[in-house]
Amino acid sequence: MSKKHDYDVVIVGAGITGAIVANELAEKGHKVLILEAGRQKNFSFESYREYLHHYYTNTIKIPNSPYPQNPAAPQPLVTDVGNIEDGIQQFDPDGYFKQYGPAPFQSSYTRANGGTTLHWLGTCLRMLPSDFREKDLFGTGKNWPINYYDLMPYYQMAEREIGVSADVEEQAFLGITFEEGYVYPMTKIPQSYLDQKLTEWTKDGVFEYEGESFDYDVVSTPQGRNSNPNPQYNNGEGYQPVGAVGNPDLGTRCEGNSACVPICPVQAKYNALKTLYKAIKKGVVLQEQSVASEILYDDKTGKITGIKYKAYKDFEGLKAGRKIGYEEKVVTAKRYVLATHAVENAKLMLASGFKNKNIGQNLMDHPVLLTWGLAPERIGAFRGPGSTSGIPSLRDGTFRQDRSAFRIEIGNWGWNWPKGSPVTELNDALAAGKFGKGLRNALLDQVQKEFRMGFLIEQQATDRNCVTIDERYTDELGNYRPIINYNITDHEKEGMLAAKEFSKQLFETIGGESKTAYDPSRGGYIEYKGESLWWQGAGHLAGTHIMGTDAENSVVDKDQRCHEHENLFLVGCGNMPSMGTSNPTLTIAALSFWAAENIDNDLKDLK
Amino acid sequence: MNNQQDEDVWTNSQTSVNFYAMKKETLHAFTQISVVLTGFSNADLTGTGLIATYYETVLKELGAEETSSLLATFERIKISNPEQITAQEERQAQEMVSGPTFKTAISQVIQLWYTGQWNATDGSSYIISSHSYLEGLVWKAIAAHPMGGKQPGYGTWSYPPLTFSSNS
Repeated sequence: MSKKHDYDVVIVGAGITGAIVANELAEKGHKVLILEAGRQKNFSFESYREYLHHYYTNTIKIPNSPYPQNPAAPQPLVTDVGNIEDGIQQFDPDGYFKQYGPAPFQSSYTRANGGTTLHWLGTCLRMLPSDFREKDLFGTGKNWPINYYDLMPYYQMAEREIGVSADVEEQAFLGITFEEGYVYPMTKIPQSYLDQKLTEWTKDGVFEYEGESFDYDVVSTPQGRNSNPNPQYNNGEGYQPVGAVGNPDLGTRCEGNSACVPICPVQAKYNALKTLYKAIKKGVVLQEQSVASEILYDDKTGKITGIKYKAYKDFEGLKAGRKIGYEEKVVTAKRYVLATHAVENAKLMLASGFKNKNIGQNLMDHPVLLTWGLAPERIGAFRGPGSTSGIPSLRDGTFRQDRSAFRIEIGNWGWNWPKGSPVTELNDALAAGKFGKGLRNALLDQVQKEFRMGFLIEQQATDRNCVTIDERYTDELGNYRPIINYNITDHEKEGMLAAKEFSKQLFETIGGESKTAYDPSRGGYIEYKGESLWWQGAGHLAGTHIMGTDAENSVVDKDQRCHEHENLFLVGCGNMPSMGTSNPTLTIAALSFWAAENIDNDLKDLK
Repeated sequence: MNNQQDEDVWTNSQTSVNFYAMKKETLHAFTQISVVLTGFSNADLTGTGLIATYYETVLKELGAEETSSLLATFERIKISNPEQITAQEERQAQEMVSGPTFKTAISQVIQLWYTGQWNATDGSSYIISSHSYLEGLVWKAIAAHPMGGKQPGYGTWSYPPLTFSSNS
C-alpha cells in the first residue's frame, strides 16, 4: 500500500450513507476515515440518553429537539420558518439557512453521528419502477440512468442493514416486484387499531376525480423498526434484530414509545449509530468535531488532492462573543466520498469552486399536505409508531402527466403534527373554562377519535430550486451557510388539490368528520384555484447533485462517481434525479451499498 | 401515624425540595385543590411524586400571597370529598375557575399538572424536569402514555383503545 495517502478512503459525514460505505469498505480490508462535523459522542447508551433528556425537557418538540444546536455545525430547524405576515413569508434571521423563497423550505437534518436517521420515522418503501422513468413515461421530471431492477439486489442489502419489518406478500403493488422467495428480515409491524378500522370502513371506498375512479387500499408500511424476526429470512438462516448501541438487549422489538420522530428511547427504530458502531469495530476511524470546509483538487485533471477541514475543540462554557477555536488540517486518500446529505454536499462542492452547473440545483423535498379529522368512533390516538400504514394507490398512474402523484401516510398520533395536539385541545378546553372531570372527559372523548393524513406530494426537479452560497452568510467557524431558493409548481399544486379532495371523500366514506382548516398566517399556506392549501416539509432533501449520463446534465454518473473528479464519489439523496413518492432513505441506503462496491472495485484495480 | 411517619410520606429522593420546611397542611390543601382542578384522584397525584415539587413551583411563580389566597379561597368551598364533588361544590369551584381573580393562575396550575410545564404570563415557559414531562396527566386523560415514555409494549397499539372512566 502506498504511503502517499493518509487513508484508502476518506468519507465526509457519519450518517447512514457514510456509515454503510465505511462499513462495507472496512469489511473488504480498506483503511477508512470518517470526518464528522458534529460533537464527539461515545457509543454508550448513557451518551444517547443525554439526547432523550434534552428531548423530554424541550418545550418545542420538533425533529431536532433532542439534538442540541451546535454553532460549529449548525442545523436547520423547522421553527426557522416563521409565519406569513402581510403576504410575505418570514424566516428566523438566526436560522442556519438563508432563505429567499418564495416558498419556505421546511425540512431539517441532523449533524451528528448517526445523522438524520436519529430523528427519522423509519419508513422504508421502495421506489416504483415508473419513478425511475418519469420523463419517458409522463413527460415530466427527469429519468434516472438506472432502473428499479438494477437496484433490486441493493434494496435487499439495505433492508437487511436497516432491519426492515414487512410482509412481502402485501408489498408487490404498482409494478414493484421481489426476487423469488424473498422475505423481509422481520414480519410486519402490527397495524394500529386506526389502520384496521380504516381498512374496514374504506373497503368499498372509491376515489372519484376528474372523470377517473380509483380503488384504494390501506397497506401496512415497511419500516426500519424491530419486530419479530422472520425465520424464513435469508433461506432459513433467520435474522437477529439489532438493539440499542451500547445496550444490545434493549430495543430488539418496538415497545410503543410513540416518539419515533424525534427519538426512539430504546433504539428499536434503526439509526445509523448501529452501522457506525460495526464499522468502528472493523477498524474504521471516526473523527468528530472535524468540519470539512474545502475539497482540494488539481485544476487540470480534476483529481481530488485532499480534504481541508476545521478541527474544533469542545467549547462548552465559552463566553458569549468568544470565537470557537479551530485548527485547519488536510487529510488525503486514494478515494473520497461526500456523505453529508444533499444540502451540505452541494454547499461543500460550491465552497470548493467546483464548476459543474448542476451542483446545488434540482433541490427537492416532499411537500406534505396535511388533513385531519375525527373518526366515527374512538380509535385511540397517540399509540404506537407515528405511522404503521398508508395508502399507496395514488402513487402511480397516467394522471402523472397532469398532476403530481402522492403517497398517503396515515398518522397514529392524532392531530399532533398539524395542530400540536393534545396540548392544543387542553388549552382550548381550559379557555372554555373546563376543569376537573369535565376537562378529562372532554379530552378523552375528542382526542381518542383524532387522526391525520399526510399526502407526500411528488416534487419535480427544477433548476430554479437550488442551494447556493454567498460570502455574506457564514457560520461561527467561517463556513458557508446554505442559501435556499425554493418554490412549488402548478403540477404539485394540482396534486395537492387532488389530495385535499381525496381526504374529503375519505371522511365522507367512513362517516367521520373532517376538521381540516388552513390558517393563512402559517408558513406553507397558499391559495390555488380558489382552494386553500397548506403543506409542511417531509424532512426529505434531495437532488442537489443528480445522477445522469454526462457533466452537462448531471454531477455523478451511474456509479455515483463525479463526472469531472474521478476519485470522488457522492452518496445520499443529492444523487436522486427524482424521489417519486417514497421516503428516500431506503433508496439511498441501497445506492450506498452499490457505491461501496464501485469504490472497492476501483481500489482493487489500483493495487 | 406519628410525626416522623407523616413526614416520610412526602419524602421523595428525586427532588431537592425541602418539604420538612413545608407545612403538612399546606401540601394537603394544595393536593385537594389539585384533585378538584385536574379531575384525578389523590392516589394518581401522589403517584406522580410531584406534589411537593409542583407546590414549590406554584409558590415561586405566583408568589406567596397569591398562592395562599388561592388555597384559602378554595378552602372556603368546604368540599367534603374532592374526588367526588357535588353539583353545588362544582358550581362554586367553577366560579373560581372562570372568575377574574384566579382564572389565569388556575389555568397555569392545571397546565402544570397536565403537561409538567410552567407557562408564564409573559409567554415564556419551561418544563420542570424529565420526570414532570413523563408524569403529565394529559396522557392519562386520553388513555395513552407520554410520547417517549411509559411505553405500553409491542403490539398494544393494535388493540382497541382503553377508556378510563372518570369515576375512577
